[in-house]
Amino acid sequence: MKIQHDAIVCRNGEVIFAALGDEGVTLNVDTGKYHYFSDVGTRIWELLETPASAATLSAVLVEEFEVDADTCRAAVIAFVGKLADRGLVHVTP
Amino acid sequence: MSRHDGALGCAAPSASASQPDPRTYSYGISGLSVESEIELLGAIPTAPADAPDLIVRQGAVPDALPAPSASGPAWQRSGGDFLLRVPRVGRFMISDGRSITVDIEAPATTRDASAFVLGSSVGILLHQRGALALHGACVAKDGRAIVLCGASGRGKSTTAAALCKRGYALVADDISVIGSNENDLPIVRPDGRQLKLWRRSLDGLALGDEAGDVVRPGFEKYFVSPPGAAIEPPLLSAIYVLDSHPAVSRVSIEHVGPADAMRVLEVQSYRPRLRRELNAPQTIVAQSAAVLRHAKVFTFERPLGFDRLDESLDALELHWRTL
Repeated sequence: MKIQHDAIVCRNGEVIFAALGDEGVTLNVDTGKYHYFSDVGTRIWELLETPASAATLSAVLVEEFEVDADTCRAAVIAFVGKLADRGLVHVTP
Repeated sequence: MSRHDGALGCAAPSASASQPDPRTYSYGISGLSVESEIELLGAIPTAPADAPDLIVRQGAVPDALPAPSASGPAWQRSGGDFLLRVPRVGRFMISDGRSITVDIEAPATTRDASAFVLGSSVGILLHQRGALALHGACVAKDGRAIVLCGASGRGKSTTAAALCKRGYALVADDISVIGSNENDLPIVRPDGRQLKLWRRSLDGLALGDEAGDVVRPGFEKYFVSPPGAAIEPPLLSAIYVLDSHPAVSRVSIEHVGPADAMRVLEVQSYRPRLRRELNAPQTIVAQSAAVLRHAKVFTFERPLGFDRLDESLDALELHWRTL
């Protein structure tokens, strides 16, 4: 799914997250599927405790990881799009 | 679940005045101290506990539960009660993670019922207690354990018995219950049982002289006391999912990534459908994650046949040592 940078992304309440050190896994209870999150993915999931846009998420992540703003924003948009495809988040345009 | 391992200790001296009732048996099964009115075949007797975690008694069990909240072809659940019906054997009521009541259907005997107490009933009870019970055998060396999972007939018990011949201690034969120690590291609780092996496995491993009673009358599986049984719960370091079929020509061990490993732990748990019935998905995810933070999951494919057993055990030992 193509996500706009200012669209609000919100966790699906039926998704269960568990940390495995810096990384994590989620279970989508609706589909019964598990998904792996890297350390950055895990951090994004943490940040999504409060619904946020890709732009807001990127602004936090550029401070925490060694990445430039454009790369970060593109990566976050791509990642959030995958989360939406897997039903892990809802996106409000 | 309870961390009380009372069955491994000794009864208080005062208990000897009123005890023992000659018709009760004491066991330590998967971390639970058990007091049973029927002899549980294949369970290794222990000293009685002051306050057993699990009581097994004989008594009347209804054919159906009032207003069951969920049911299947052979079971019903209502509140903390779980009714299991085994045709031609009897009915088993598993209640609140604390008791199992057995109502044997004539002409079945306590001997017939015993296998269903130790198998399905204890498995369901462990789910009621919120324990992660993997359907697999567990062996340990130097305080570290591996669990061997896999579909029925893939050689879990045979591999475990062969590793015991190589100096490993047997921790569990069929149900490996994962707990945690004081440092929150995963441990495996000894099941307090003998191995169950098919006749051909006994012969292949040259353990025939150690064979005891048959598991169930008319059932060609035998109880075997392995060369060394573990008492202290060892740390869980790896879970291997066994597979073997005629097309496999060589040993192959592959690491399973986290998301697939979560699925594997769910599938390889004891009676996974009943577990989902008795435990919330949050509990199931948390249990698996607690394991995967410290232990890894691998698939372990190997050729069939006892002539290739040593080769696959060599590969497994080498792999495990490098973890």
